[in-house]
Amino acid sequence: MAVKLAHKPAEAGVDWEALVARRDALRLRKNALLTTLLVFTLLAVITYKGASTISWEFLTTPPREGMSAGGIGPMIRGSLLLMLGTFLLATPLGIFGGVCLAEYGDRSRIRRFMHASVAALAGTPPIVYGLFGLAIFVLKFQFGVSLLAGWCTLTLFSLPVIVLTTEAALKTVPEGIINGGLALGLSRWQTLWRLALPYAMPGIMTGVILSLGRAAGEAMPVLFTASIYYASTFPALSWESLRQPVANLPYYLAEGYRQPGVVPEHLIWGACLTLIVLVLLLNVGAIVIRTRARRRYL
Amino acid sequence: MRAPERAKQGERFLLLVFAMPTYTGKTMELAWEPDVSFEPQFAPYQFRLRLVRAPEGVDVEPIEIDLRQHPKGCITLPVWKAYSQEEWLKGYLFELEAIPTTSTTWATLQQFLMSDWAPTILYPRFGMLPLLLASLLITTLAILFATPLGLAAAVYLSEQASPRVREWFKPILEVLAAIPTVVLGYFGVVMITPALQKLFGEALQLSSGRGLLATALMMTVFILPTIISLSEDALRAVPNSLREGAEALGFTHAGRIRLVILPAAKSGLIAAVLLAVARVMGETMIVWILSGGTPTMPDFSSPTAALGTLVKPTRAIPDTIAIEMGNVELESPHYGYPFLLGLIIINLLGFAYRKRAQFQL
Repeated sequence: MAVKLAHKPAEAGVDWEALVARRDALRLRKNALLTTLLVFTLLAVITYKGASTISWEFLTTPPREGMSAGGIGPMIRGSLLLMLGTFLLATPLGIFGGVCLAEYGDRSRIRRFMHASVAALAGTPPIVYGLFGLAIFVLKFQFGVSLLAGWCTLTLFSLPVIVLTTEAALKTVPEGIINGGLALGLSRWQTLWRLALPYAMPGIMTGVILSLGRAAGEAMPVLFTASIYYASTFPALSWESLRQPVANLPYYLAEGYRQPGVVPEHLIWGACLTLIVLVLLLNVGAIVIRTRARRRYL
Repeated sequence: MRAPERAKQGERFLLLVFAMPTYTGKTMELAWEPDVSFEPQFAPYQFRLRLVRAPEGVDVEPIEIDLRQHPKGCITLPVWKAYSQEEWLKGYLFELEAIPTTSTTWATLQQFLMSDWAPTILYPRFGMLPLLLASLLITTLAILFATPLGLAAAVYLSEQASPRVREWFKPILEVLAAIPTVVLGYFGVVMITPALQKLFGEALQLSSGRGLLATALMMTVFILPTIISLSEDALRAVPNSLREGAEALGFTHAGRIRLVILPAAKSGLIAAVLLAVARVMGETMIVWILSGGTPTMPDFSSPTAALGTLVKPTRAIPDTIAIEMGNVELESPHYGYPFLLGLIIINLLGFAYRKRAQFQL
């Protein structure tokens, strides 16, 4: 590539250097603008297509007439149920794992190996988690296609991210705080529990929420493990319903694609918009937590 | 011709073959079911038949038959005998010994790399080459589209944008990264496939715009935030002294970026792109919705064929898993294949991640 140095014959009144710099800057800015435009087009199209469908009735009633009318109440409820269980299972496990990785066995080989494994798991595609859940939870443990199997699969799916963010958040705790605690005679456990974890909690919660948002939008882990397409009643939370499949938004959309013509298009767009809003709300929550925490400590 | 229920690797077994003298009386026709070589238990084999025992009075040279060489399922053997009328009508039964000539492992591998993915027909075939190639092509195209865009945006953000723009841009990237892939897929159905259909529909008789190109374009959208934010991190990690040094040496702005900052951030940038490669390879929902779902071999022999390859339906590895896992029969030979494909994806990803680790430092 031909790159010119700035020594150009100076012409009276024209600052070539500035002009060239400006041209390059505009070229580069174009790309950033393109990305921004893309995001807004995406959101605008989905909102435009879906907004007319959204109503209180659409969000709260079950589908009617062979899914060709009615709302997506059970799907929303199913998605929320899946996320609730995943949150309850994955958060303690993930934080525990992150603490173990960050605090214990500092530079040992095992720790490095564990870290690499968790990082690899974080990059494993959702479809592989779906296959794993099907083979292990649904078939081997005989949970069947059920809420329980969905919880387990989604927990596995969101664990690595939680572990990694917990570890990273604990790494950001200043040495001074830890040493101060130890100097005051706190045990290592107390330092961790009373000082390090509260300091790192916003970071951890951001990770938890982000990974929950990812789990909520992903159809693949629940595709074979927890999902049912046709749901005319609301899933209740009881011991029996743990062993039954639930309807959920991503699967509703996936199946809506797979069986074209069953669900009318406007319902699909409404469901798309609902899912986006759900996931974005989670993300906004994470951003808010992060900003408030930054303000608190800085 | 009847074959044993299940032939093990390298095992010889006896087959009974019906034989019929031809009209001339000098030769004899040996017939078997033409697709015996494609029966599930034989499919991985390439095997020979050897005549072991002929009926009494029939004098036949020992002969070896490669079933694949005779797709019609019959062969004419020379015989030396005068037939009686009765014999002529009844025909003979020959005993043949089938000797597998290829090992099962090798044959399975060979079949696995064939260009024919048809798992649900009577004699299923599992050649995964079209799936693999489609996956690789989608990844290549998406990376080709996304890298220049993403890199330029990252350079702008790290080198030129004011802190306010940067603060404002990060949440936008997060929003883009957070949009569920199902929704991205549907977005592609609204925005991309109709456009492709309009452009090439008449020339190529497309039924829809779904295919490699549509998938790759949507994948570009999918990985842009990853590439931008990771490469921006890499660029910001370049120490300021390098920038100032370059400026002091009289580089133009573009020269500074191209000759100093990009090379300095090279390993981080490559790591960012490789992470994007891994994410594209594993992404399922976008491919499922936008690829069209028909396994086809890519064909780049002529410009028209290449264009057809790009815009006609195809099928990659992840969506094959998604499509087939739902209706595969348990314990059938087909059952293992989605898992095998999953394994292949993991291995491809592992390759990308290992390369990434080399650059990450």
